[in-house]
Amino acid sequence: MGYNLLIVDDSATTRTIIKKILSLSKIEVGELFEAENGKVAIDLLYSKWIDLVFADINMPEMNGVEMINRMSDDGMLKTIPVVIVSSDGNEARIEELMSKGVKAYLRKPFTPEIIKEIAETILGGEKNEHKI
Amino acid sequence: MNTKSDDNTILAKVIEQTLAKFALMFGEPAGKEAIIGFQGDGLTAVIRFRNFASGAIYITIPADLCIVLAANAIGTETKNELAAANCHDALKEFTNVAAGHYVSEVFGKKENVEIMPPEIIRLDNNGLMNAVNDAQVLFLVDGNPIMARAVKG
Repeated sequence: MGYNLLIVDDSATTRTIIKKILSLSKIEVGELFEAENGKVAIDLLYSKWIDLVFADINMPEMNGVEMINRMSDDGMLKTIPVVIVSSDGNEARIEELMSKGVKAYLRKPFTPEIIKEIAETILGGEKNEHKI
Repeated sequence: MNTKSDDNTILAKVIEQTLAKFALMFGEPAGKEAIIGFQGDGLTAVIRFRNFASGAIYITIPADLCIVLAANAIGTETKNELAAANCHDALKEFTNVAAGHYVSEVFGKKENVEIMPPEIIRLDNNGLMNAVNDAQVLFLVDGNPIMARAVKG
């Protein structure tokens, strides 16, 4: 059985790119779920088993910071690893997210290699606190 | 404090780098004279920012180039219907990424500059030519113009 992954980004283009990268990685992918904002993602997290989340910050309705806050307040959701993938470079925001348990922070535009490397490392069980 | 010239240099750099990494497209800096007379409709993505600093970034490209941008970003052919379907979204995301790097470089990573969701404006050929005149930064990609400007305040 493969890993279930969730990609949260308001850009369908970015979701497609990340999906393609993950499907070509060494990770055994079960189901790939998509959400266009944090609110849809939270609903999915309550209804599906998810092993890893890739999430943007700047999204309408519920942004990535609000989504992480909701997850960190929930005993079950806070155990799910999250990788932030954003063009936002604000140091305070990055520190805040890392302090809430975000596993890695990738700056857009990203390379396929770094997405694959981080997903493989996290799902391989290693602690990985990247800031790129 | 950056001068207008510094800001334009930063804008040119982030657009060139984002274009290369996001869509494997390589722009060649161009003057307005190289673009006058270009025929075709265009699209402008505008993204506003606020908090520590406020303003907006405008990126304008021909409608046909938008399909190439989307196709390259998602790794498909321009004739694939996914490219046309993702065209506006790809231009918005390209602008979003460029804007994120622009505000970090111009205002610094310690300042909280909030970037708003991008919007798309359709342009006819006259609108495209107006964008040429207003541009602070111009590139040519395979003969197609990419124009950008950033305004503060």
